[in-house]
Order: sequence, then C-alpha cells, then structure tokens
Amino acid sequence: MLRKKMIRDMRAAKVQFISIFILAFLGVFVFSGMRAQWEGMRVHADSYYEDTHTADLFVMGAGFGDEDLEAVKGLKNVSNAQLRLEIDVIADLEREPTLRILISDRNDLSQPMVIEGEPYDPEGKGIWVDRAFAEGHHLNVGDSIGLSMEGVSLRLEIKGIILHPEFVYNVKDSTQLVTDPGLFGYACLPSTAVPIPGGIPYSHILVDVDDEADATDWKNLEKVLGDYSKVFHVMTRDTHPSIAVFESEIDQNREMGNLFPIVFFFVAALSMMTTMTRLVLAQRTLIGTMMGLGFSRRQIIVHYVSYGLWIGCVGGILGLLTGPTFISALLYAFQKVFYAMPVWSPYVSPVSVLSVVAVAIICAGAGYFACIRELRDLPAEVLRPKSPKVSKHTFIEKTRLWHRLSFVMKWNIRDILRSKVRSLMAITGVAGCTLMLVWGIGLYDSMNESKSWYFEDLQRFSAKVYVEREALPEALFLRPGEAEAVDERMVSVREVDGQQMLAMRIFSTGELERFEDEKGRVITLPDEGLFVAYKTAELLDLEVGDEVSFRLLGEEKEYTIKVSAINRSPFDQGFTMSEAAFVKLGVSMNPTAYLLADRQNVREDADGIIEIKDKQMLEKSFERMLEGMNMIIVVLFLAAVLLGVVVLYNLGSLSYAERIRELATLRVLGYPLPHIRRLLRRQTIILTAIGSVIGVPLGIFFIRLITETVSDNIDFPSYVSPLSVALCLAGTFAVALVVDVFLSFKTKKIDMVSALKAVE
Amino acid sequence: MSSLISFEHVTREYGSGDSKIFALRDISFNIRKGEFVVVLGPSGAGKSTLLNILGGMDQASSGDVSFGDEVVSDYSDAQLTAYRAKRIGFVFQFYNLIPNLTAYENVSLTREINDTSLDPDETLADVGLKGRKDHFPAQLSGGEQQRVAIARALNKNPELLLCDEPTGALDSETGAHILSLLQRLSSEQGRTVIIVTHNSKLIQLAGRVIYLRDGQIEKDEIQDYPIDAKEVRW
Repeated sequence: MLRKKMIRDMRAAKVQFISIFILAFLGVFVFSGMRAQWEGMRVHADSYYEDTHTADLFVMGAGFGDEDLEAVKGLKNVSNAQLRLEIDVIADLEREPTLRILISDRNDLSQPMVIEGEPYDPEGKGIWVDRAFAEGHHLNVGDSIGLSMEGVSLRLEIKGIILHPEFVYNVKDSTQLVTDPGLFGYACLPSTAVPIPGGIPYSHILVDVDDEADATDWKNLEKVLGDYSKVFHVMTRDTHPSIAVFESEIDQNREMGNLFPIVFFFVAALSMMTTMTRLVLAQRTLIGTMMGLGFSRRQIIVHYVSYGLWIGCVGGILGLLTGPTFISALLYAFQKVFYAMPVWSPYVSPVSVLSVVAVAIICAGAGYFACIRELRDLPAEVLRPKSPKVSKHTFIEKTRLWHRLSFVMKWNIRDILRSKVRSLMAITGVAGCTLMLVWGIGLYDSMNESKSWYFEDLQRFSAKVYVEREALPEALFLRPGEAEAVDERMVSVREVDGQQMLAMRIFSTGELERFEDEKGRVITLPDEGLFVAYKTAELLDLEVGDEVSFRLLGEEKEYTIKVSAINRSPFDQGFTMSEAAFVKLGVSMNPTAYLLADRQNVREDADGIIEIKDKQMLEKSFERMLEGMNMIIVVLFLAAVLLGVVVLYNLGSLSYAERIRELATLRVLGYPLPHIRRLLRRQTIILTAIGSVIGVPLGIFFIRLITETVSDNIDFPSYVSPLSVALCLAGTFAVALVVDVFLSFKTKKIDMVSALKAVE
Repeated sequence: MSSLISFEHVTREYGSGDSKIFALRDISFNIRKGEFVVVLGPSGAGKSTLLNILGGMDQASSGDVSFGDEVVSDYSDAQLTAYRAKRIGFVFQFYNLIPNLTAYENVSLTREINDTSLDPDETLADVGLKGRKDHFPAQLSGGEQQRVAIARALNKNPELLLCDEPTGALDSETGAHILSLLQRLSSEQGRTVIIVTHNSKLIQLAGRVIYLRDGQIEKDEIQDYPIDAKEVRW
C-alpha cells in the first residue's frame, strides 16, 4: 500500500524526483566511470607487468658481460637477472626511422608480448617489431627489414609483432610528446641474430628482486648495484620513464575521478533533503492520520526513507551500468594516442559498486533527516498544519544597504534565507556548474598558454637539427657561425631514495633559447653554475645556491656544481648549462643538435644529419595532444550544463511550488505575469550570481590540482584568461536564463481561485 | 447617484452539452458608488462565481459586466490584470499576506502595480496598526492580519472593496471589529464595499443585501437603517 502511495507521490512531484534521480545517476555515472577507467588501466598494467615478468630493477651501464651478470645474480635478494643491449639503429624504410632495438640472449625478464606471429625465441634468427611501428610502415610478419648501426648493415625477417611492457609510454626523447611511429619504434632481437665479434657489450642488466625483500633490502640492493664500477644508473619501476609516466597518468585520473563526482553527490543530497522536507510537510496531516491509524513512528520513517533508497538505487545502478563503458571509451580514445597497452578495458571494482550504496544512503539519509525534523512533534500536533516558518529581521536588514534594495530584492533575500537548504542546493549546483566550465576552459587555456610560452617565448629558433656526435658544423651548415650547438645528455643524480636519471642540456651560447626564472624574468646562462628546471628542483628538493652532484652517462666520475637559478619551461625539465660552465668542470661539449634561426642555413644533403625538425612540426605534435584534450573539455561542459539545468530547474519548480499561494495572491491583487516572472527570476539570478562567484576560484583550484600533478617532466602553469572567466560566468547565466524561460511557462498556470481557499 | 457596477443578464456556465452546469443564470443588478452591499447565499448558490467575476478573475459566459463606463466582460487577460490592479481592493478570507514581508511591506505591495497608491503608513494608521508595521504576519493575531490585508486593499485607493468572507477565519469579537472597520470606511470615506458571505448575521449591517440561490437572485433588498457592527449581538 505504502509503495503505491510512494509512486503516486513521486509522480505528483516528478520534477523534483526526476532531478534527484538524474543527480544520483550522474554522480555514480561519473564516479564509477572515472574509477573504472583508471582502475582498468591499473589492473591491466599490473597484469601486463606481471605476465611479462617485467624487471624490478634496471641497471644501466656500459659493456656488461656474463661475469657481471653472475655477480649480480649472486647478490642478496636477487632472484633472477638478464642482460640486455639497448641501442638505436636506423631502419631502411621511408623517412629513415630510428628503431630502438633490445638485444638479449634470454627471455626471462621484461618479455615482449607477441600480438601476431611466432612466439619470441631468444635463440631465433629474426626480429620482433612493435605494433605501432609496424602499422606506421605497413610491415607484416614475414617481411624483412634492413638495419644499420655504426656502419654495420643487417637484414632480418620480421617474425612477430609485439608490445613491450617497458614501452607503454614510448618517446624517443623529451622533445616529443607523442611518438610518431613513422620516425621511431622499438624491436626485440635475440642475440643469436646479431653476430657481433667479441660478444655483445650489454648496456642493461634487468634484475628480478625476491618477493620477500623489504624496503631496506631494496635500498641496499640499489646502493650495492649503484656502486658497482661499470654501473652508471639504477632505475626502479618507480623511476622507469615508461612505467612511471603511465603510473602518474593513472594517479592523475584517480585524482580527477575522486574530485569530480563530489559535486553531484552533494547536490543530490541537498535536493533530496529539500524535496523530502516539502513532501513531509505537505503530508503532515496525512502522517498524523497514519499515526492515528496505528502506524508506528518507525514505520512512517521507513516509508519516507524508502523514497530516497529507491531513487538512489535505481539512479545509481543505471549509472553503474553505463558510466564505466561510456567514460572509459571516451577517455581511452584519448589515452591510446600516448600509451600502448595490450588491453584497454574498464574495471568495475567493489568500490564502484559501493558508490551505488553510497548514493542510496545519501538520498535515504537526506530523506531521513528531513523526516525526523518534521516528525519530532506528537501525533496530535502533527495532525494540525504546521505554523508557517517565521521570517525574522536578519542582520542584513540592519545594514544601510538594505534600505536601498528594491522591494523584489528584499522579498527574495528573505525567501532565500527562509529556505536555506533549497538555496544551498542551488548555490552548490551553480557553483559546480561554473566550476566545471572554468575547469574545462582553464585546461584549454593552460595548454594554449603553455604552447605559446614554449614555442613562441622560449624557443627562439625555427629548426632543430639532430646530428651525429663529432659531426663538424662547417660540413653541416652554410654559415656555421649562426648555428647554436646543443649537447643533450642524460645524467644520473643520487638522492636520498636512490637515483634519478635526468636530461641535461648544454648550450654553446644560449642565444636561440630563452630562459625564465620562477617569476617569469628572462635570465641568461651564466659562465658558472647550472639552471635547474622547476619540476626537477621540486623532485630533488633543490634551491638556488644548493650544490648538486651528478654523473654523466658512461662515466664514473661525479661532478658537483652550484644551482644558479631555477628556470621554468613547460617541457624541458632537468639541468641546463652554458658551454663555459660545462668546460669549467673539465669536460668538453659534444653537440648532438644545432639550433638554427634560419632554416635555409642547413646543408640538406650533408652527412652526419640525423633529422631536421622544424618548430612547426614540434608544435603540431603538441596540437595533436590538445585535440584529445578537447574531448575531455566537451564532457566537462556537458556535465556542467546538465548539472546547471537540473539544479536550477529544480530550484525554480521548488520555489514556485512553495510560493504558489503567494503568487496566486499577487495575481488577484493585479500583478501582471511579467512582473511575477521577474520576481521569480530575480531569485534565480541572485543564487546564480553567488554560486558562480564561488565556482570560479574552485575551478581555478581544480585546474591547478590537475596541472600540478601532471608529471615530473611537464610543468604546465595553470592559467585562465579573464575573458574565459567572463565566458564561464556568461555561460552559467545563460543556463540560468534558458531554464528560466522554461519555468516561466508555469506562471501562466497560476490559478487565482486557489488563493481564496484555505491553506491545506 | 450613478451606477458603479452593472450586471446585465450575466450567465456563467461550466462544461458543455449534457454536463453543462450553470453557476450564474441570467443575473442583473446595479451597484451605486458608496453602497455597502452584502451578497448572501448558501454554498453552491453561485457566490464564488459572482465574486470571481466581480474581482476580474473570471469572465461571464454571456451578458455584460460594466464597471463605470467600461465593459469589463470584453476585457483581455492583460486588461483584466490592470482592472484588478487599479480598481479592486480584494480582502481574502484567509488574509493571504505574504509571510516574509512585514505588515508595512505587504501594504506597500500595491505601489508596485498602482500609481495611485496611498502612503502605507497612513493606511496602516487608518486600520489601527500604526505600531505594528514592522511585524511579520506570523507575529500578528488573526484580526491584525486581516487589518493588514484590508490596509493592503485600501492602499490602492480602489473604487471597489471586495471582501470574501472577511470574518470567516476570525472569532466573533474580532470579526465585529473588522466589519465595523469596513463600515467606517464606507461611511467616512464613501467607499463602495461588497462583502460576499454565507453568514446571514451580516445582513443587518448592510445598506443593501443581495440574496443568491441556485445561481439566481432570489431577493435584492435595500435596508434603510443598517446597524453598526459593534452593536450587533453575535
């Protein structure tokens, strides 16, 4: 019986209940969707690493051989180890792409995952090529590929197409954000396929650590390995470029996924509370009758709580059924551009299922509070209609401003203060709407700002020419004097928890690259000391004046130098020095690239040129990333508009329903419809104004949260232009006004005669 | 004295065909300026319909309703709204004050829609509520609330004060004070007052009584010597 009553009550107040339903649905949709999305990445990444026996430690150095391997294997806590040579070669394909080949004599650790073709054979004779590269060059199993390295040429048959767990995020160097498979790829080779006289000088030892090893064991092992004479650097999975970047991508998605749905849950709770309060109030006499009939207080409370329980459950379950699939599909499409994973599929964990329970409890709880607040009185009192809420002269009325307000304003302000929960719901919802608009537009602005900052302000060259080391500038350029030499190396820095591998750039003059300090002032490379990029300084906890020690790739010697400034750049993290300062350390510069102000300066056919990159090309690869971003922005905008519409429509219809008698009275008194609409609209506008003003700083805070957690290699300052803020405010008001147009149809239905009747 | 309101063969019917119901059937009467009229009838007699048409909330199905020189029965919605705003002061049975406006503000409501509005302070003084103007309705007694409602109606300086069971929600003593106030407004300010009620005791107070029954006028009486409400024994 009571269930029938519930369904009829819901039908009678359908706008309110539909809006609660939508909010419950959206809350779970977004929460479970975003959660399933990042949990899917985490679960599949974990099983990927697990299935392929991805190494725990990556020891880098030069010329490792069997005796080194045996020495490592003999160390405490090492359960297995494997040698690997990682080397870049040129493939004889269109555009002369670089192929990073991994040569190994065994297949115990960090195994390639074969997608197509023969299983990987560590004693075989062919080559296993990565999927994106194979697709980019239309290579198939059975084709052959020619490789040349250091003057040696080699032709091999493609035995399989693979993915490798250490190449989930795969870029050749830090100047690229997205891999262009036409120019860069990787492949696995058994050592038996490469006849190198005198044995292969392995560059890596992959180490599998005992499962029983604790944190101290790990640290000791890292230290022991790091101190080994041939070792240049030791990485863990936490510092492995690919694994760490993918991990931080997951973290970032988790961060967003946890924050984003809060607004929906909160607004759903507030809407439920206002709606239930109104319902319980309207049914006060009925409740009294029910009590009189012998229903217990408990039964009555359970009845009203069941409204929220039903709505929360139905909305939540629908959200859970659709959110993970929909949101994952959307975000994975964007992430697939950057990351190569064997499986992309959402994972619905118990936590996602719990969110349905949570939203049901939120809705039921809101109903419960509304209910007990109204049911405190005894049955006899409940039978009588409740005396109306008494308005009070609030503190605002004591101010001088109050007397200047128009009549409509005074009325609305009192009404807002009288219906606090309803107003809070509206303000929260509108703030959420503005927040998401600012968030979306802010991400776009921040990216664009970083783009122009990087490509227009910092990079003053028009082309970057990658060259072989030892190539002479005279042979490469028409006017060698105008080319700025850059030496890009990797250095290893010891820190408390192990080692960090960082990029170091040495400039001959620094004229074609601009540097900015933390306050945005232009600084020039000094003859002594080095610049530490902002994110690197954070990572290593460095400040201006500190000393930092590093080792160069392939060297044992440790150099110590003073930090002369912290510089900011969106991408080039790591260290930067002038040639003069570098030479003072007793090392000489060995350019890997040249920067050119004039693209025409290069001798196109010169030997020793690896690749010429126009700045426009670099800019394009960045834009490609922005395009993926647009999808997320569209989702944010849609969510914002939906939230705004639901909340404001709910506000409007609630405040209309609560004031219907007042409005009918005004009609009898001769108030024209436009006047009454203005009266209602004014309240929407006041609450929209408050909500949107709160939403702007929150939105900016959310952008900052996202840009700051982005990754250690990227330093995007959060930025929202004043114009964008204005657009977001305008957007919020546009939503409010459109909703108002729909609500204004209601005013036509005001029945004047109802004003003459007794209060129910 | 000239006629302020005239009903000529006014009929109001609801529904159509077989289920047609006549709420008012061919009613004609005139009310002169300054008259104090009680419209009396049992429930279902057509009182509410008459009140709605007089108050500009409803239109006649046929026949003419005139107010002054104008034919109200031809009015559009907008004209009816203006008619209510300018000419009618409406007093409700349940006061219908806006709960979150003070007494003063409730009375000032008329200034938003009517430029002939009076000074709310004076109007409130007229109904004897000078000291209560900053109180909210919930802080006032029923009688006080009805006074505020009357002040709100009066503040438009309306040509007709139309009251729907003005004492229906009040105890008899308070009701007597309200009726006495209405009488005074009629006699001292020359206002036209129509009270629609089912309470036959009110007929003693009026200069004229219109009896309604089954949608028709049963009797239309002039009383030469109405009694002051304060002297009626309730």
